[in-house]
This record gives sequence, structure tokens and C-alpha cells, in this order.
Amino acid sequence: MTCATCHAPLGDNVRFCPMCGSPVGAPAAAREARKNVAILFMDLVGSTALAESLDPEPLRQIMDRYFTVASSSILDHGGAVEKFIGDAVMAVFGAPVSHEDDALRAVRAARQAVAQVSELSAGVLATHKVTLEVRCGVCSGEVIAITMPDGSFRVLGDPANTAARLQTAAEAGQILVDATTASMVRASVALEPVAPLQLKGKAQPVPAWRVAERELPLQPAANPAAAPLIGRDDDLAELASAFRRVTKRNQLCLVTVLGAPGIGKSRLVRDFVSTLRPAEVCVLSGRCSPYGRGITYKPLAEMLSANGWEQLAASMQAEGGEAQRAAVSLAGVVGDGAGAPAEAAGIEEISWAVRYLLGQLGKKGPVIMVWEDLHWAESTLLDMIDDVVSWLTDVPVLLLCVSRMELLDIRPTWGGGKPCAMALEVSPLSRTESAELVAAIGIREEVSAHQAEALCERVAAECEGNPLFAELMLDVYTETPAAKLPPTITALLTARLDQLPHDERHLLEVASAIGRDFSWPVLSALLAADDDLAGAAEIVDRLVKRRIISRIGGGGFRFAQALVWERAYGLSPKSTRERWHLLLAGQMADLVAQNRNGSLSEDQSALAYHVEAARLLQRELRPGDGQLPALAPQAAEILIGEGTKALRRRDFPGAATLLGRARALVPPDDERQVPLMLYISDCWLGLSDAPAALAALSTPPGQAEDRHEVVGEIQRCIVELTLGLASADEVTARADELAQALTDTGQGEGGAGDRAWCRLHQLRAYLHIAAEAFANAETQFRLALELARSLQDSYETDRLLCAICELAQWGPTPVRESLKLCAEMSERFATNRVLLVPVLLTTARLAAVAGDLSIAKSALAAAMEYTDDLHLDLAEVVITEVSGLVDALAGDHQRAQASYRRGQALLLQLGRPRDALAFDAYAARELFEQGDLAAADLAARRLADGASGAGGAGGASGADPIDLRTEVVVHALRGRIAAAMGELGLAMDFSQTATARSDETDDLCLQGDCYTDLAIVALAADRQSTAAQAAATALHRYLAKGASRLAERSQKLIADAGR
Amino acid sequence: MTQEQGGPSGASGTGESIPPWRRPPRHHFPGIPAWGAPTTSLREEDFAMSWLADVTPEWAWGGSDGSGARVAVLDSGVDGSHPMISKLERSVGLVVDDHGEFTVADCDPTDTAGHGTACAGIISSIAPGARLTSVRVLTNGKHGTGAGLIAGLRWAIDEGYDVINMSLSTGRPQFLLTLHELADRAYFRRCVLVASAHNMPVLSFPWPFASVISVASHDEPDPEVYYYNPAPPVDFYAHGMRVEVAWPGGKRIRSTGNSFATPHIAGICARILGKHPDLTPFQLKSVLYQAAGNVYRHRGGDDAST
Repeated sequence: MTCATCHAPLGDNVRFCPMCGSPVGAPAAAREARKNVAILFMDLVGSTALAESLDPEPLRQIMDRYFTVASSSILDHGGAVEKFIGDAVMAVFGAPVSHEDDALRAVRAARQAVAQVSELSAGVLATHKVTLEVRCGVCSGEVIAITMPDGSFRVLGDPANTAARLQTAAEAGQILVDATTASMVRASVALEPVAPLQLKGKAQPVPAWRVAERELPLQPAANPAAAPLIGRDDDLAELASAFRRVTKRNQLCLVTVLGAPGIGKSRLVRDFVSTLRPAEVCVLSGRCSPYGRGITYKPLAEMLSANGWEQLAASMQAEGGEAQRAAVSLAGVVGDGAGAPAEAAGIEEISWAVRYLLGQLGKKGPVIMVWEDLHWAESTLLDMIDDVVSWLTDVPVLLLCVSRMELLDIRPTWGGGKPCAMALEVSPLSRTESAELVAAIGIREEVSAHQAEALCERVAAECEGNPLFAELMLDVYTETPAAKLPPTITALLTARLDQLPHDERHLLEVASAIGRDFSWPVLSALLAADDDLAGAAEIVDRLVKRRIISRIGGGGFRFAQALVWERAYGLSPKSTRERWHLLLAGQMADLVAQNRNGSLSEDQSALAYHVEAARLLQRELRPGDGQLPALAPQAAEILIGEGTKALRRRDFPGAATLLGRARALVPPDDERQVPLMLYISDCWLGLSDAPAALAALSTPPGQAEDRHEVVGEIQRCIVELTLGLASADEVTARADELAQALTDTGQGEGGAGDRAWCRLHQLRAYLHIAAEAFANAETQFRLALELARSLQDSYETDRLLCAICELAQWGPTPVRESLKLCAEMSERFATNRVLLVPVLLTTARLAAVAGDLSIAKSALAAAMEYTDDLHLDLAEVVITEVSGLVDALAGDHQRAQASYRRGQALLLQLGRPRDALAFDAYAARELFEQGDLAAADLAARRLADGASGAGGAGGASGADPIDLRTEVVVHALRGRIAAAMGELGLAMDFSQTATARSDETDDLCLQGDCYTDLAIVALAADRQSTAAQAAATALHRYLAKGASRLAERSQKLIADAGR
Repeated sequence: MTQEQGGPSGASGTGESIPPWRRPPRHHFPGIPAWGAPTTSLREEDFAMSWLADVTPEWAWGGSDGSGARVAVLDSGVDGSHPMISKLERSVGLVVDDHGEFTVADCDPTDTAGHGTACAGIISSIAPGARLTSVRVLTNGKHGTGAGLIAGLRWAIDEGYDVINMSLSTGRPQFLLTLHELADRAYFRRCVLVASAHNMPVLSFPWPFASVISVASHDEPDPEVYYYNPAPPVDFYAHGMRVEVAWPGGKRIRSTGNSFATPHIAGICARILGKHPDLTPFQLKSVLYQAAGNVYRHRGGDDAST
């Protein structure tokens, strides 16, 4: 008889083996099994020196603590301590019980031990002046595991030896692993190769890796393979044919993929894109989200930054010219990188840059732009896409817009009227397709019996052809077969989430507070704050396997379905969510402060979002609680920054949203309330939305302030005047009252009332403009400008400078002075061509009347090019006017006439018949100048009849159908026509009326023109002295303006009259 | 009606139309498991046929109860104590050997999932004299692994069973080649694989192989009625809807699925082979064809019943 454990011979009647002490006659012998395990070897560095320098008593205490740390690290990760050898510990992961991730467990245990020993060391360094360090080796492979009858075990095999050798080769604090371990943990742990090790007892050098200190972003199992795409062959074929059209005909195509949530729109597009070879097509993808409302261009920024923007931008910058301009505009969109312009490019500029970029990319090969979740797009973005579709026709670009049906509520005409646009509605699966899908997602086993599964059939029947419903139902019914669910998404989602184990559901709730996308560091920090971090990595893993969340690039995660995210968010108590949002805001504030990874703008908008969300929940929970969250000022600043940027871009809808969000985070008595209110109102005014522009002026909740009220009233006047809701007389009276009110309440100029006065001056300027009193208008604008500058409000300042600059065309300010202002403004707006174009046109007009036709022509040419690039409708009208003037001055009256006619047609197209009348008059004038008396007479009479008629063609109410300026032009023209026809008395009447009416304006050029005409008519009527006087007056007016070219004509007339 | 050419009448007789075996696969299976046919409501399809004069149902299995034929049921095990099961000769199951691979070893005649017992019960009811062996390859309820299936199938072929009932399949392409090789090997060794078509319109194996006899359901209640299907890949339709089947614990339940159509054909195969033990698999398939309800009836035969 021999000992079962050590095989030593045993005598009769012994109860214990004399060699090893094992009990004899134990019921079962030791069991042996071959096992794949990971072995961890850990040893204390310099333990001999430690023993030497310490008294045995503290040494024992310290060693006890060391062993505790070492053992707990191993046990925490499911390993077993096989034995202690002196100060070394050998642990086995995978025996007696194996796990699929034993190697990773061993490495994590080693890591924990290294970290905790180092903490321990810091503690004992203070008390005992010694340091402790461990080194570790991990090796994986096959061993013989021998389990004793008493449950203890040991392992034998090469991995055990190699682990010990690796440990010896490691430096203090290091963990070395062998090739097998490395291959198994590489996905989760950062590894650095070390030179192959010459290990004792090994013939060949052993390759080894060092475990790096930094954590890899959590890398759980890859997303499970998606179910096959079922029942979408026709849709795929449609997409493929659209793409063929794009490539073959070199033509832009817009395909809008529409459908209910969960129907498989994104999946369809993803599968379509994956059928294309990456080398043959450039795919850009961006996703709109309800998160961070108002950040109009986020999806565009996403597309660019995911596709090597930095490199592209650098090459575009280097190219110069248009490429550089586009690069600068787009850099402003991407935001974080260098090269973003100080002056945000306008929306038209961005739109142009996108078209330019697509044009360039399209030269290299076809481009696909995927816009996901377009129902959440800001309207400015929809405009931009629309603009690309309208203007970029002959470039191989496929725009794939993915949206819920709601898009058609927001934009009923989306894609309409465009020959290259089509909508693809993703329809529910047929019953058979549903069955096929259910079979594919329901059967996860390799082999299955063919008994009909009532479950699968039930799901196929009840899922309404919606793949998401099918997946959710299958999950729900598998776990709770008796469940009865209405096929509504909320019921399904709630049931599905309810069924999840508590820890998974809780993690989803926490993650949902972050957003649909979340990163591991943010999630883990949030969980840690609640002490919920334990096991979270593994829970995330399980959720990925369940396909509730999926891994996305950059180590992040995404709720696989937006709906699941929304539902999960609604599950936790509001007070908890409020707390989470505040914690997240704090985290984001730290990230913003560190400004790492170039994700500043994203972190900022996340900060704003979380503060806002907390504030909203606070309002719902405690309506009376006016206390703003601690980070509200920072969030408000971020939103004001973004909002102002949008405002400068003239992205009015985006700006109104962002500034509105900011306003809710600014205390009611904060001084920023007033400018925010005004800006928001300006945005809506810019969109001609009177109700919204006026609604923005209502006093914010909280205490009402007189100051708000007066400023609000002033802005109300501006809105009503601009949009024609109140007459000029009415508004004038109210403006006077408001000025009085300001003075009465002690808000005189140069103090608390500056903001109000700034707007009041603007209001008065608008009133003067309406009366063609440009000098007064300019005075008021300049007063406002001074206040805007003292308020350091660059938005107001720029606006006012633009207004003053444009006014210079009509007002009495001398040309030279105005041209100087124009030059300044051109420089200032170099990157924003939308603002630059009016300046160029002003320059052209002023230079023309001053006689510098070449400057006028080059300014005009630039304005035309930019207007063409940016599709600025109104600027195009002004261009026809200025080119008409330039041509007329150059003596080409035929061209001038054609130009005015084009302007007239454009205005009629834009639905502005009243403004078109002026162009009609200018064109008639050019007919006359060409000598076509009859036609000119006909046109002038028609205009005059319109003027005296009772209202315009549209039957507009009492408003004068023809403005003062046009009336003056028509009268002057009729005078000339009458004179040419020999009706000299009538001619004098007309001409004198014209001069008298022109004196009511302060447009010196207009006056000069009328007096010139009068002089000509008087000469014809042989009234030399009247003629001379009129010509002199004309000369005087022209000279006052600095219109030297026009003055030349008057001088000639004076000479004629004197003869 | 001619003997050699053309169906009795109808569309297929016009010569212009596409014969059923060249048609694209059907995508709609109203109210029955996929690949099956609702023969109670659909008009029986005409198709061109040639037949061998002497082969009739009576010739094929008349007087045979399957005695002499050995049938293996590759399934979840068989409850040997169930009264509907006759002659369960042997029960084997999968064990993992020292190299981590599956081998087959004897085990207790039990079935926790019920599926194998149901199938064996049907075979017993058709061919009570056949000797049954249970090969448990579905180790996880009604599911199993591809490696397990292959190990069990290989074992059954090597053991020389005359008929192997496979009311199961795998959709994993990694097993396609091995299963294909095994099916061919069985065919050449005169071992007939009777395999059930999937209940859902999805592709799986081995049932679509030409070397096996594949079975789907018709919706008639008669266990003796089966039809030839002229539109492959399914060869025959048999009783598979609301079939009364044996269930562990001595129970009987009604269940549906191509799983239960398959052992009906396996049972008929056992009866034919019991009477004509030297038929090769291709001969056997021809005999089944000759004796099928929709073929035999056209040559003046009565119904396909015994």
C-alpha cells in the first residue's frame, strides 16, 4: 500500500503517511486533470535587505500586511494561492475552476498587488523608513492540476516555471507576461514589448511583454455579430442605383431614408455603405442629436474631424485662394484645431465651403455624406443641405439623409422639386421576413431541433415588421413567456429594461444621464461617485453582449437605439438624475479646465447640457427654488459664446436656441439678461418672425425690472417698425415717450441706461431712414455706436458700423470719408463675405459717383463673385443697381437698362413688388437716355398712375404704394420727357416738383440729379437764369457729397446756361 | 395520360411554363412551418413524371413493420421507459475525451428535453419492429454544438445504421463542409439520412443536401400520408402539424414542426428497408417517390396508405 498523495510506502494500520502527513485511506484518491491556466508569480524586491534593516517585530507586521495585500489581490480576481515560497506567492487562475478570462484576471490581480504594495510602501516609508516593491510574472499554458481529496490542489507544468522566471527577470514594480498571456490580454491591457529574455533553464530566448501602467479604454468583447439584413434587398438596390447614377453621370443625388424608429434605417445605410470599397468612395458620416440643441454644425464637424481634417486643412491652407478660404471657414466649424478664424464665417460662407470641399473631393472620386437622425437637425443645417443639393449638381456626391418621419413635419417640402432627390421609405418587414429575422436573431445556438417555436412565431406575428420590436419582444418573451405586450415601443422598452438584472438596469440609468454616447472614464467616475463602480466593466460587457449598448470608435459606447436611451433616462427618479447631472457637470468642468484631447468644445457643450438638465429637473421638482446650479455661470458663458458665434454667422435659429438656453441659466437680475433678450429678439427679427421676436421681449420669470421693460419696449418698436406692424408716426411718438421714461427713471445716457439708449438711437435712426433723412439717421447710428463701444459689445458695434457704412451711399457724408470707412470694414470682414459684400457695393457706388470707375468696377466684380458663391439673393439685387449706375455713368445706357430690369425681375421673384418699382423707374430713365421717348413716356406714366392710384396691385392698405425716392425719380424723368416732347410748361412743373420733393430727403446725389434735370428743362424752356441757378445748386450738392464725376456735368450746364 | 411524359393535366402540361424544380424558391409559407405545404387548402400540383411499373406502396412496405432495420435518432436522447417507444436498443451520448474532443459513449435512456422521445415515438408508431438507438447530440435542451452533432453523426454512420433521423440542423457555415462530407459518406455506405427542413425560411444544414432525404410538413392530420415535392430542396411532405407525440414522463402532447414530419418518413424508410434490405439510398428515394401520395395516385393507385 502506498500513500495516495506522495506514493510513499505505508505500513499497516497507519492513519497518516509518515512522509507527507496525508490521511491514509481517504475515500477518494487525488484527481488529476490537464488544465489551461494562468500562473502568477509575485515576489517582494529586496526582502533580505528589508529583514536586515528592520527589527523582527515591525518586520513581521509589515510582512503580514504584504501577504494580506497579495492574497486579497489574487482572491479578488478569482485566483487561488497555490503556495507561499518565502516572500513569493504563486497563484493559479483557472484551477480548480476555469474562467474564460483567466489570463486577464491574473494580470489584473498582479496590477492590483503592485498598486496596493506601493500604497503600503508609502505608509511604511513614513513610519519605518523602508520601501516595499513587488515584481510579477504571468504565464499561461497547460498544466496538470492535482486536486487532493481535501480540496487543496497543486499544479505542475512549464507555465509555473516560466512565470517564476519572468518574475525574476522583471524590475521592481513591473509585471512581465509571456506570449500566450499577451495574446489573451492585449485587447484590455496596454503592453509594451521587452527584449526577449534569456531565462534560466530555457534553450531559446523567451519573448516577453511588460504590462504598461496606463489603462486601455475598456475593451469588452466586440459587439456581437449583427443579425443578417433581411427583406431590404429592394432598398439596397435603390441605394445602389442612386449611387450608380452619382458615379456614372457625375451627378449629385439626395436620398432621404425615412422610417419609424427601430425599422432599420441606419442599419440599411450602414450595410449599403459597407458594400462599397473604401478605396473607391469617400464616406463622411455625421449624426444630429437632441443633445446640445443649437449646435448647428456639430454633425458637419464630426464628419470632418473623423476624416483627417487636420491634414486636409493644412493642404488647403497651403494651396491658398479659394481652398484657403474654405479651409478657414470650415476650421471655424470644426472649432478645436488651430486655424479657426477670429471672425466666425457666416452660414452662407460655410455652405459655400462645404460645396467647395465636396467639389474638390468629388474630383478624386465619389463621395457619400451620411446625415444620421436628421429629424434632430437645426433648421440652418437643413438649409445648408438643401443649398448643397440646389447648387452642386455636377459632382459625384450622394447625400444620404437618415431620418424619422418627423422630418416631413418640420420640412414638408424636404427634397421636393429637386430632380436628383428621392425619398426611400423603409417599410415594415413582411410576415415571412419577420419570421426569417426572428429565426436569425432568436437562434443563437449552433445546432437546434426543428420543433416549431411558438415563441418565434408569436414574435414574428406581433412585431409589426419592426426589427427592433422583434428583438425586444424576443428578449422579453424568452425570459417571461407569459408576458403580454402591446406593440408600442414604450411598453416594449419598459418591459425589456424592467427585466434586466438590477445591476445592468442601474448602469444603463446612470449611463443614460451622460447621453446616448458615453465614454468609460466619464461613466466610471460617475459610478465611483455613487460607490457603484465594482463590477461595472463586466456589466458593460454583458450589456454589449445583449446588444443594448454597442462599442463605438475611440473606446466609447453608444446606446444601440436612441429610444432605449430615452427610455432608460426616464426610469430613474428625477432627484437622482438631477444629482447625476450636477456630478457630470462637475466632471465636464474639470475636463474643460484641463482642455485635453482637443475635445474642448464637446466638453463645453456637455457641461452646458448637464447644468441645464439639472436646472430643468430642479424646476420640475422644486418650482419655487430659484437657486441656480453652482456651475450655471460657466454653462451660461459657454452657451452665450456659442450663441454669439451663431449670431455672427447669421445662423439665427441656432443662435436663438443657444441664447435662449443661456438666458435660462442667467439669474433674473443679472445684467446679461438685457443683451440676451435683445439678441434673441434680433434673431427672430432676422427671420422676419414677428411673434417670436416680440415674445422674446416678455420679462423673464423672476423679478421684473423697469430697465428690462423700457429696453424691451424700444426693441418692440424696432421689431414693429422693421416688419411694418406699426406706422412710422406711431413709432416716433412712442420713441419720444420712451426717451422721456428713461430720463424720468434716472437712466440718462452715460450710465445704467446705456443699453436702452443704444437701441433707442438705433430706433430713431430707422425712423429717419424711413423718412429718407440719412444725415440724421447716421447721427443716431453714431450715437448708438459710441454707446455700443463703451459697452464693449462687439456684436452691436459691428452691426452699427455696417449700417453706417451702407448709409453712406444715400446720406450727405462726403464720399472720401465714407470710402475710408469702407476700407476699414473690408478688412474687418475679410473672412465673412456675407458682411463684406454690402461694403464692396457701397465702395463701388461711391467710387463711381466720385469718378473712379476702375475702383468701382473691381469692387463690383468682387461683390458679384462672392454673391454668386454664396447665393445672396438681396445682394444680387443691389448689384444690378450698382452696375446700372456704373454703366450709366460710363454712358452705356442700354446695359444699364438691362441691369435695372434684371433687378426688377429679381425683386418681383422675391415677392417685393414695391421695391421693384424703383428699378422700373431707373430702367425707364435709361430708355429715355437712349432716346426712346415713347417707351420711356409709357413707363413713366404707368409708374405715375401707380403712384396716384388707391393702393398697390396687392391691394395693400393705406401705405403709399410708391416711395418718396421713386416718386422723385419719376417726376424728374417726366419733366425731361415733357421737355423733349416740347411741352415745356408741364416739364417745368414736373421738374420743380421733383426738386422740391428731393429737398425733403438728404440724399445729395438725388438732389443734384433733380436740379441737373431742372437746369436742362429750364434751358429748353429758355429760362436761363432758372437753369443757371438750378445747375449751381446741383453743383453745390454734388460737391458737398464729393461726387466729382457728377459735378463735372453740372459745371458744363452752368457754362451752357451762361452762354 | 401518358406513362412517360407530362403530368395528368393542368399548367405544367402546357410545356411553356417553368417546371416546379426550376422555379425560384417560395417565400411564403402560410400557417405552417417553412418549406412545408398546406395540402389541405392548396390544389395538388401537377408535374411531369416517369415511373417504374412495379413499385407500389404495397410492394414497398406492405407487410413490413420495420423489423430488421436499425434506426439511429440523433436528438436530445430518448426516454426508454415511455410506453410509445418500442425496441430502444441502445442509448449513447457525447463525452469529452482527454484531447477535449467529443466521443460517443453509452448512457442512460433518458431525455430531459423531450424532443428526441417525441421523434422516436413517431418512428415506433410507423415501424414498431425497427430497432432504435438514441444518439444524444442536443446537450443543451433542444440545442447543441456543431462539433457534437458531427461526432454523433460520424459515429452513427460508422456504426452502420440503416436510417438516421435528424430532426435538427445548424446554420453555421463552418460546419457545412464536414457535414457535406459526412452526408456523402453515409450515402455511399447505404446509410440513409432523413433530415428535417428548417421551420423558418432560413438556410441551414444538412437538410438541403442532395444526398439526404429532406422532409417538411403538410397540414393534413393523417400520419400515413406523405407527398413528393417537385420543387426542391425539400423532397417530401409528411404529417408535421399538431402531431400527437410522446413526451418524457409517459406523457403525450401535440406539437408542430418539421421535426415531427421527419420521423414519419424515417419510419417508412425503416419499413421499406425491413422488406428490401439491399436498396441503396438512391433506390430508396425512388421507391419513396413512386409510393408518394401525389405520385402513386396518378397511376391509378388508391391513396399512399398501406
